[in-house]
Amino acid sequence: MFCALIGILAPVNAQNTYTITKKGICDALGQNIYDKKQRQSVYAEMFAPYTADNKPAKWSKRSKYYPNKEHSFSEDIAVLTYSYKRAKNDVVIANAYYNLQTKQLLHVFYSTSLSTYTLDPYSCSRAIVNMNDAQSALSYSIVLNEQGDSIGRFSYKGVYPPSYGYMAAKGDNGKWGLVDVNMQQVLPFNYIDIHTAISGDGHFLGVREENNKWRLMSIDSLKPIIAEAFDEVLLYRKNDFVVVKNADKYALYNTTTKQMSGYYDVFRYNSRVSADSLMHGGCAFVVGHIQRRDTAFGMVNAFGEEMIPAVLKSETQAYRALNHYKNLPLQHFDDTELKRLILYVTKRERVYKLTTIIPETDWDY
Amino acid sequence: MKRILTYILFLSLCTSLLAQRRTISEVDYRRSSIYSLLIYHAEQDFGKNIADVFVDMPISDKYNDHDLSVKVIQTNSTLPSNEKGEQFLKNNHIAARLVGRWFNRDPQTGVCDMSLIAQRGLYDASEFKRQLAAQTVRGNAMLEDAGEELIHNTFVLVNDIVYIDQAPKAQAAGTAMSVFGALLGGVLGATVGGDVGNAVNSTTQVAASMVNTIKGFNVKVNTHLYRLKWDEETAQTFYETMYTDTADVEKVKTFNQQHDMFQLEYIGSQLSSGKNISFMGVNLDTPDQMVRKACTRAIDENIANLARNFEVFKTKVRLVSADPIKAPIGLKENISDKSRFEVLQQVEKDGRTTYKQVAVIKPVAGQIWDNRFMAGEENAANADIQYTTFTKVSGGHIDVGMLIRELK
Repeated sequence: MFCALIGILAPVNAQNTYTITKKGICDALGQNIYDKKQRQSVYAEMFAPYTADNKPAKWSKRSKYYPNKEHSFSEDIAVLTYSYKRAKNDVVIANAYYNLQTKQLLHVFYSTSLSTYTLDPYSCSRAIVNMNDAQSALSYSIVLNEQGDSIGRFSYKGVYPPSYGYMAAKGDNGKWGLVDVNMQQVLPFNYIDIHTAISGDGHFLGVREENNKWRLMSIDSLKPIIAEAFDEVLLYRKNDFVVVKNADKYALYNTTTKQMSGYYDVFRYNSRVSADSLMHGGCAFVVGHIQRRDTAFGMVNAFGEEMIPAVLKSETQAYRALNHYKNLPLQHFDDTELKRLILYVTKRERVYKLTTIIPETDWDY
Repeated sequence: MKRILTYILFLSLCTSLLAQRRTISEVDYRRSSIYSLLIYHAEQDFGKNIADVFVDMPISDKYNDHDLSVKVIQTNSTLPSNEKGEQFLKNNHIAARLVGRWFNRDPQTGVCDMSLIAQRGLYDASEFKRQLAAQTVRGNAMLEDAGEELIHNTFVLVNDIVYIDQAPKAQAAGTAMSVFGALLGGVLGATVGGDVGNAVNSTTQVAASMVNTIKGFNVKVNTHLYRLKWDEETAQTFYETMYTDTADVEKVKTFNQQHDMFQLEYIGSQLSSGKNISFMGVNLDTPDQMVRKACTRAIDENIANLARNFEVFKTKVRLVSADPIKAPIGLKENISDKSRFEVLQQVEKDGRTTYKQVAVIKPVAGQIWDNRFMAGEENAANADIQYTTFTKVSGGHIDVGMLIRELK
């Protein structure tokens, strides 16, 4: 039961494929690399500052209120959240990074009721720890390296996890800039906000300037890649396109081909369409025009090309076309194919009587 | 000079030989194709909800989607549902339409192509064109292979879904929902404005009326399985007299006059267990989610049982890892630690595909993926693991990319 709960609370990290089982943590080969004995040893080490030498802290069954769990597996490093009850109403909670391969505790943070630490998973060999101390009103965020040493300090939640080797960070002036994983400044602290995770290959990012407009910038040249600025940019990590918004209308900008689609009132992204399919012309976006009486929906692909014109009557029909299209050979529709697809998405909703011979005009084949 | 010429000749020969061999993607493999229909009972409670949900239910990723534009047929008939289904299939020439879909046939001009077959069968489309020019199937390995592996593995599922009324058991729960909804509506109405309160009330009342039954809400699905008949004679007639890659009035006429030669054969039926489906993970603001969960699980259960009971409908799944042995298959396919699977090596010879058993494996207890619909939302154990881990029972070397198929 306990282990099942652990299984639920600490899902496997798909990247490193560690599994929590009844016997401990297993790696992708099914080898137990963190068994009960090791857990006890790590637990005792973590709470050594709070116990006497001859009486190490003993791992006990997790209570309802005080956690004992391993979670957030990333880059072979787990976050351990353990608690130790020293006395009645006196519980110490410790969060630590533990390297499952080298079997080392990297850094331990002790929380009290007034000061808490939240540990982000490792990414690009860096981890961010946010510390919030209500008593002293001292809050900050630090960046740890792979050895667990602190290499940078910023205001509370003033640094984002690394993305393609860069981290958006807030300077003392309250503005955002960009640093690399070695804390070297790449962009000055001049921006209201920065999004690093915009492009699939990490070569560009979005910056929000003083006038509140967003601009897309190349990391390589630190120059804008398109002259236009936007009210909003929407992020798609895996793919080289960005959805932008201006005056309540949406468009798609493909950063590889530099193509911009038309502007639409409605823009939806279907994350179930694979990145490969997208980059070969597959559709992922339902777009629509909202008019006084009718709305009309269609589809565009990752290059901003209108694959299906806005002729479908509802968003549901457009999603239906999207789901059907991703199973078809990737192609531009000719008139016959378009007619067939429209039949397919519209006629599906109809209910036909069993005894009816359905007219040929209602069949797509 | 002579040496260079010899080398060039040798290279050309190798290239030519390689071009004749088909390459099988490491990732993709040939699947059976399904057209899924609903028999709709308008007079039943939640009949409309069931129909709405069914129309947008995707075909399982273990099969190709071979749906046609018609999905829902309504009946007031008292005939058994497989007879109802057969009537419909025959009257509307479904078999001929499924064949038309395989060849992307334009009903007006009769123009066909092999693109879908090439795509699903992982064939070389241009090679097909050359072979079709010979206009004979007999002795034509690629066309025969496409017929046996793909077209003959086209199935129709006719799903007769009925909702099971267990209202008396759920009455208390339903009443509690109504009261809670009224209270919540009242609170929100006071804080935000009457409209919001009323909206909450109304949604909760709909949900409550479902909960009145949903707490015991259950569907029973009777799934009838049919298979498209595609033999040498059918294939020969089609390729000779109906297939054309340019507009041909005569071939259109022949197809329309002879479409009864395409037939579906009844394989069998499966009734779902009618297990209660829990509310967990369901957003009660959208009661259709509960209907979708119940219907999807019941249909998946039937498909899994049909695959277990009828050899022709069994699916093959590709191993994604050989050490440990892993495959993207799980509870949705009704597997348990007692299931046994044969590991198959795909062998191609002279354009024909055969499968050779190389090992037998079984799932490891506690490492079976829960891939049932909405298992993640239910926080089911093993919903996140993405694959089931297996262990070898007997046999030889297993490689990633080999196919597995359940043994009865």
